Amino acid sequence: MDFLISATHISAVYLIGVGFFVGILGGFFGVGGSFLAGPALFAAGMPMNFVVGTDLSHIVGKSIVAAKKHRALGHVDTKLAMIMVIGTIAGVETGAQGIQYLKSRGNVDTVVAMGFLVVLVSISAFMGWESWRTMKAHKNLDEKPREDVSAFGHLAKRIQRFHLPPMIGLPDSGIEQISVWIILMVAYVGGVFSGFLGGGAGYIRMPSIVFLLGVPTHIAVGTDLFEIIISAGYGAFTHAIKGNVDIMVALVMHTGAAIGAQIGATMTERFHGRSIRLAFVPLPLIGAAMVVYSLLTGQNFK
Amino acid sequence: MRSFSIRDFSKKLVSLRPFLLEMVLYGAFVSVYFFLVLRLLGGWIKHVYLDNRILYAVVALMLIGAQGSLLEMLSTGLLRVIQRTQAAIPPLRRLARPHETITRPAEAPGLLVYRFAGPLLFFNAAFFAHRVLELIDTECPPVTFFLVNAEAVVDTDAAGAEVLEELFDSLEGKRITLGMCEVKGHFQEVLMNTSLFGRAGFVVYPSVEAAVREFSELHPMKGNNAEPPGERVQIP
Repeated sequence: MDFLISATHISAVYLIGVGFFVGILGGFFGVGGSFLAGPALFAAGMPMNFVVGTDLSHIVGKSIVAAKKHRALGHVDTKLAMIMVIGTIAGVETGAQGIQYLKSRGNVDTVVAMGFLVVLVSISAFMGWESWRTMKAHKNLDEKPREDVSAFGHLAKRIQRFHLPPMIGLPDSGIEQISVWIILMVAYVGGVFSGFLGGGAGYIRMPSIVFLLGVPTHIAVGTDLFEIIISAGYGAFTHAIKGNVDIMVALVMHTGAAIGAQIGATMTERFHGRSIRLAFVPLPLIGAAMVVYSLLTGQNFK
Repeated sequence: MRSFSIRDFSKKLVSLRPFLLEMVLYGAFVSVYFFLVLRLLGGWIKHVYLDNRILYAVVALMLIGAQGSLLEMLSTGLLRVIQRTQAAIPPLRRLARPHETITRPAEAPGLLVYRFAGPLLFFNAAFFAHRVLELIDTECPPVTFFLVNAEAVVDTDAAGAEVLEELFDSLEGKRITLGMCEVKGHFQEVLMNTSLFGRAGFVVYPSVEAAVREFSELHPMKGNNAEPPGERVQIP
């Protein structure tokens, strides 16, 4: 199928299949799956600036479905999401300006691809290490705790005690008090990744919400998806104005993602938080492998 | 290590059936949508992209947002229709089977009473066994006591007796008790000549009420007072 705006030819079946798989991941992990969607689009021959903007647009439609399911299951901290939106929008604009700069220099493909590689490998390594530590800590207990306790729970507690007004309570997430600036900083960093690498940057934001802010995993998944609707909407808008969005690719991919997200969101009720985080580990590496393959060989998957 | 069971695997497939059906129907709808809308939209969208970027950005967001809501409604609606249709099938099946009555006493969760209205003979014995196992596999909460109400079972033969013995063995392996009530006439005479009456765990009650009473006493629900011991038939 020909996509006139980005001047690419990609199989509709390939796009729908990628969207379906990414949709399941998005609904299940609370991350948009851009660590797979982005590399998959790049591997299909789409220029990186279009990959970033189009993936953000695709995220908007997909997140509506997944977030509604999570909200019905009581997994959304609306207060936290609204605060994060502010920081994320600022970060997204910063990232988008970065893309424009690289476009003018003519090396957006290489730089963004390298950025993808670094981020994906780092995230996978860190999540694997954390999951291993958490499971080891619980292994010798006679009775497994019902709560979702991370191996980095002490770090979140320390961050919550950091007193920098204004302070705010998040009862839905079980947090007594935390500085608003910390929430904004976490959101801003996530927004920069989102605006620069595309997608919702949930691979940065979800671990940050869980390990730095101390939000339980199930709440982090739903809240992340809910907040992405607004921040990714802004990201898609700003990239569209800058000429980096092929909305037809996003629409086709989303037809598969819509049903995948519904299935993925329902599955979170059947798995414990530790299992969710452990299953997340190999996924960024698959995206990294696709980027490396495309960079080294110049081959496309269509 | 758990051994692989074809029955367990097919049960899991059955539980996924609503989602698989939904995907098939969803795929059909989306295919029509794809050919009628998306393929025709590409040219116009490119014109807007080239002429007015701000308008293009607004249209793009509206399209993806509208499609998101539309497909979400479609997928949710499909799943709801499929689940409701599946829920309506068992009552329809029961209407088509007037020869059986299934009762689940509220005061005895885990007990299922199956009234089979007819003789248990060579031509329907296998069907009887199949129905018993089917009911046990599909019941929720799981069955721990399967009571056959033999009020209308006026007769049985060697095939029927053999099926009952096999059924007892099969349910014993699953830790499900097989009991009977209202046993009488030639059915009772044949049953006494089987190995069932010598087997531990095989119980015969005079009535359904007696069986429910004893089961409730052995497996009290919260808040129930102790009931007096139930009656068991002593076959001379």
